[in-house]
Amino acid sequence: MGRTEHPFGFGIGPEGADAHPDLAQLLRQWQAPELSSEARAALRADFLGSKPASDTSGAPNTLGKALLAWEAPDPPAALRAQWKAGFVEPEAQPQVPDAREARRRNLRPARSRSNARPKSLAEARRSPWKLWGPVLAAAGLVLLYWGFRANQGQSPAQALAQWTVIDPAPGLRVDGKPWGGDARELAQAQVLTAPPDQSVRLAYGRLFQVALGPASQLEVGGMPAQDVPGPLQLAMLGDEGGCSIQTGPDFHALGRGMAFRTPEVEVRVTGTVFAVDRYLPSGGYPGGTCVCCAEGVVEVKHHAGEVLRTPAGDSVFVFEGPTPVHPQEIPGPHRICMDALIEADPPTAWRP
Amino acid sequence: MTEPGMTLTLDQRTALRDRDPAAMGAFFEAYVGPLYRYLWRMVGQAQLAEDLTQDTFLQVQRSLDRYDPERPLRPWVYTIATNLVRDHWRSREHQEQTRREDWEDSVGRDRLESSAPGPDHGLQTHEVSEQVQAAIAELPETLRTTFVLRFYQGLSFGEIAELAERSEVAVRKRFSRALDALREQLAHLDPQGDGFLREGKVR
Repeated sequence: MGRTEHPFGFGIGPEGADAHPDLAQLLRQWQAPELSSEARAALRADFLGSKPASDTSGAPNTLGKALLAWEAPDPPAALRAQWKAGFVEPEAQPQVPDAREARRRNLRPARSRSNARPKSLAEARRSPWKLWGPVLAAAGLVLLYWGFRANQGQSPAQALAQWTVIDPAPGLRVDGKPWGGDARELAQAQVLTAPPDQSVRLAYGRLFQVALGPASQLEVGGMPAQDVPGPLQLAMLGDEGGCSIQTGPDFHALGRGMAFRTPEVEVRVTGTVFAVDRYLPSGGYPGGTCVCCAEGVVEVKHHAGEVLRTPAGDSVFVFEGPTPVHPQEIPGPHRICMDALIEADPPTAWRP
Repeated sequence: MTEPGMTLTLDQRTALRDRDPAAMGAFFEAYVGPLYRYLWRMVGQAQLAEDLTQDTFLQVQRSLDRYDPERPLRPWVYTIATNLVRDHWRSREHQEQTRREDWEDSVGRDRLESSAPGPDHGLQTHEVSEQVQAAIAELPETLRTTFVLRFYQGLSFGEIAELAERSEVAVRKRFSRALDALREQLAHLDPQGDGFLREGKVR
C-alpha cells in the first residue's frame, strides 16, 4: 500500500498504521458521520461570516425568541437632528462637550471634595491622625528606607521597582505633578493620582499591577528591599477612590506579602487579585471601605481589631462607624474591574 | 435584529476622514441608530445612552484625523463607543449607584423571590425582555460586550477581535462563555432544553 495523505496532512506510511494492515483497516472503518445539512450551513455561514448572528430562522424556541425579543429603541428624533447638526457642521452648533457632566449636575447635587456637602458626623469625628496617620507612617518608612539604603551605598532608585504606565490616561499625576505622556517608565513614583474621569493601569515591576479608578490616589509607601523586613506597603490616599490589584510573578519571591491600608482597614495580601474601594457617606449610608477578593485570599483587619478572612468570590464592606462589618456579594462594578485586570494582557515585564 | 447598512465605501471613508460634509452625513445616518441601540443595550438607560451616543460622535469627530480609511470603519467606531462605556462603568458615580441598588435589592429580595413566576407561568413579552436584559447585565464586562456586539450588532468575530485587541479564538471563547452563562440564567425560559442556544445554533 502506498503512502496516503491524511486530510490534515499526516502521512500514513510504512512507519505508521500501514505497517500493521489490520490496524489500518480498523482505522479506515471508523467512519465519522456526515454533518447534517443544517449544521453544515450554520458552520459555513459562521466560518464565512455571512450569516447574521441572530438569524434564527428555522429555530423556533423560547430562549432564542426571548433574546430576540429584547429590542432596543431608536434614538429620539429631536436628539438625532441635534447630534447630526453638531457632528456634520460643528462650527454652526454650540458644542456641549460635557453634556453628561451638565446633566449629572442637574440630576444630583455636585460633590466636590471641598465644600459641596456638609460634613457628616462620622467625618467630623474622624481624627486628623486617622487621615494623615498612614501618610505620615508611610513617609517615615520611606525616610527610614532611604537612610538604610544610603548606608548600604545603594541609591533608593536602584532598589525601587519601576512603575510602567500600561494603559495611559492624560491627566495622570505622579507625585503631584502632571505625568509627561511620553514617559511610560516611572522610576521613583510614590504617589499616583488617576485623572478625575478615567482609570489608569500601571505595573510595579514584576510585583503587581494595579487598575487605579478615576480620581483615586495610591501610595506605595516605601518599597522594602530584599534585606528590609516587612510587607510591601500600599495606601489609598484621599477620602474616596478605588483600585484593583493583581500580584505579579515576582511577588512570591519577595516573600513578605503586601499590606494595603485605608483608614478603616488593613488588607493583608498573600498573592491574589483583589479590589479596595473607599466611599464617602452617601444617600444615607455611612462611608467606609469595600474589599473584594477575586482570586486567592485576603485578610481584612478592620479598625475594631477583628481580622476577617475573605476568600475568592467574597467581599466585605467595613464602615467607619461602630458596627463596622457588612459581608456582601462582590458589587458588579468591582467584579468588572477585577475581571478586566485578570483578562488584560499581562505587563510586558511579566512575560518570561 | 442585526444592524444593516453600516458599510461605507473606501471613497466614502476617505471623504469622511477628510471631513467631507456629505460623507459625514452618510456616516451619521448609517451609524446613529446602531450605535444608540448598542449603547442602550450596554448601559440599560435611555438618557445615559443618549449622552454616550453624543459623546461617541464627538469623539469620532475629534479622532477623524487619525482614522486610516484603508482599515474597516466599524471596529474603529465601536472601539470608541466601547471605551466610553468602560469609562462610565469605572466612574465613581456608576459604582455608587450600583452600590445603592445592591443595598436596595438586598432589602427587597424576599418579596421579589416570593412573587417571581415559576416556569409554568406564561410570561409576557416585556417580562421576558426584562429577564433577558437582567441576564445580559449580569455578564462580566468583556462577555457582555462580546455578546452584544456579536448577537445584536452583528459584528464578525474578526471585527470584535480587532476592537478588543484579542485573537479571534479568544473572542469566540468569550462568546461561548457568554452563551453558557445566559443558558444557565435563562434556563427557566427554555424548560424543554431544546432551544437553539442549547443546540449551538447561535454563533
